[in-house]
Amino acid sequence: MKKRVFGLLLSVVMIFALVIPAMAAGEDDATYQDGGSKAAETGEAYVYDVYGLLTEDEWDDLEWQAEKISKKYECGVYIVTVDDYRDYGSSVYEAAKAIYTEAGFGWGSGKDGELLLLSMDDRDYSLIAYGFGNTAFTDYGKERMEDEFLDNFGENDWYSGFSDYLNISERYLQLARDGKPVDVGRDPDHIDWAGILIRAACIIFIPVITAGVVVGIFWGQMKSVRVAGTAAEYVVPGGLDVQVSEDVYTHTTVNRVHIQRNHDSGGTSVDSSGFSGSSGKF
Amino acid sequence: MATQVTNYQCPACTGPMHFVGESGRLECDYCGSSFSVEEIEKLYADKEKKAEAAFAKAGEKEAAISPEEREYLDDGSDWPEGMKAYSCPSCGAELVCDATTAATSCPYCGNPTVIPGQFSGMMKPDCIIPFKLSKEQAITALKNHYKGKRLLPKEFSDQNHLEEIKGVYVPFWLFDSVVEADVMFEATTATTYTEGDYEVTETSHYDVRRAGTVTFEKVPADASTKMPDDYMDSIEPYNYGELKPFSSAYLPGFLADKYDVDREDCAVRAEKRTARSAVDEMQSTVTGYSSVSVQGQDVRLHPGKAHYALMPVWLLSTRWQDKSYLFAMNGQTGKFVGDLPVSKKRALQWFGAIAAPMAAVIAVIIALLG
Repeated sequence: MKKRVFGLLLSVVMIFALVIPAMAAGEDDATYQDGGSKAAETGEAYVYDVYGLLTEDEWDDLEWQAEKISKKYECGVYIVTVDDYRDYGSSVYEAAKAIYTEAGFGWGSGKDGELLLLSMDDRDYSLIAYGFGNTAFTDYGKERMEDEFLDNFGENDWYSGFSDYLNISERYLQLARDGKPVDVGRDPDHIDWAGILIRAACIIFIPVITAGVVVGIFWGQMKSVRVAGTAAEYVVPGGLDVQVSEDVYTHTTVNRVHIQRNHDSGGTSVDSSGFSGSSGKF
Repeated sequence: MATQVTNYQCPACTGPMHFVGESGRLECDYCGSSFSVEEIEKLYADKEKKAEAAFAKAGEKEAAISPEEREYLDDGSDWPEGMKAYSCPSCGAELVCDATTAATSCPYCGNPTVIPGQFSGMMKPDCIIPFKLSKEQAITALKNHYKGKRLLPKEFSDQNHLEEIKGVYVPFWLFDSVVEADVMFEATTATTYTEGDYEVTETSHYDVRRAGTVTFEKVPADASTKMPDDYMDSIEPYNYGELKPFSSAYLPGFLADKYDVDREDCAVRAEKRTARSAVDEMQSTVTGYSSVSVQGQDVRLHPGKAHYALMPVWLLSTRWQDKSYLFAMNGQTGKFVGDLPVSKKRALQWFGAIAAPMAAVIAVIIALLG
């Protein structure tokens, strides 16, 4: 029953998303006609602006870009905007997965692709990947992508945000096809200053400290004259007579330290349904 | 006229004798005869008594000199203040030495000479540890002291030469005491476990008190201003099992001084050491905790007997690049101390030799892993 309702809702979404922009494009934008109408005809659109954030020109441009990227890299790159994700799933992440699956997104038999879903009522977003998308868009890669577009969404600059999303998706897909997907320690756009500093510290400080300790020991061997501070060796055998010995418990203190889990190992966290993703607010 | 000094001569050939540590006997430099300390004491008891009496008489005479006369005599004297002149019983030469000198050797005939008056009456040591190790062993120990010192300038061991080596009986005060200590500690035990995303450490705190007494025996403090305290501390400990009643028969062949730091002044140093050790001893009984720290202490010292003793020390001095280096060896146990010069160039070379390859290896490992 739930699935049926979902299918009905998504069908409505598709009609609005494909037909209305296509009609508008026919009036004043040649580029839109090329990409948008084709998408409408083939049912292979990549940008579904159900909420209506984009102008017709913007939609056309984004759709053209998304289609070009998807075909070039054989990995679907999708954008969907909705009023409320709750119409599709229990969470924005679940909603994105549901839309991806029910709408038949994804390239080829592997259904390779990624989807950026914006839910406008509560300004939620989710970025998910499937198939080859999981290879191209690692957990680290998704974080870097979000850094690129979330600032635009925060300023309600939707076109720039989606454009950044497509541009960075193209770059990451290119790297993934080259066998070098963006991941922890392998990000050509990001200089890992912390990693560089840690490596430099290892190369400089460990040898310097070790050499300093060893030379310090050698230096200490040169000094053998010092004033005696104690007289332990002159305590007579049995000369210690302890007459009072009291051990009194006073109190207990508890210290709790949050354990920092290491998320820097890289890779992509894929759930049981084959999706990976992240979500949040913008 | 009786002389104030005693020259121990061989009963067989009248040649000079000296005490030999390895054999524990007095040996003649010429005919090789040897005699036990007891035998020599018996033979020279009368001679020593006469020397002590002459020493005492000379002291009385000096004390009787009026300030005007002293000024007149001092003006005509060739010897600086604090020096004394004696006559060598072997060659008649004038021996000029420090006012505290108790045993020396004649610079002209080389005969070992003892001034028994320095150790008579109240000034007589209670006990002595005789020399066990020889001059040759001290020289060998110095060479061994250089070994394995990676920062020692190569030129130091090659170029420097032994300027002086002397065996000295150094005066020490040995203090007995009982220290009463009442010490408060804060001690803790800790257990750590994981609870969800948190590491939890539970620390139990305890107030711990230990009170009692610690008995110390013969804590040494050197009683000669000529001897650096840190050197004398550093060659401790002596094996008190070999302490012997004092006899001047152990002195021939070595230098000896009477004390010039009195018991009260030396006691301050010994008390500091015993007070600290008493607290340490109490702390050693606080066990089963993960941390123990002293919160308060009440330490009272009950002084006991103070023994006046002579301890054997070999002093060696070398010179390198216009700087003197002093070394000391325990004449009984052979413990050898003395600060050595450091070659900064060698230190830097070692630093580089360790740091550079290590940095290269780490860089390669990082490159391979990265």
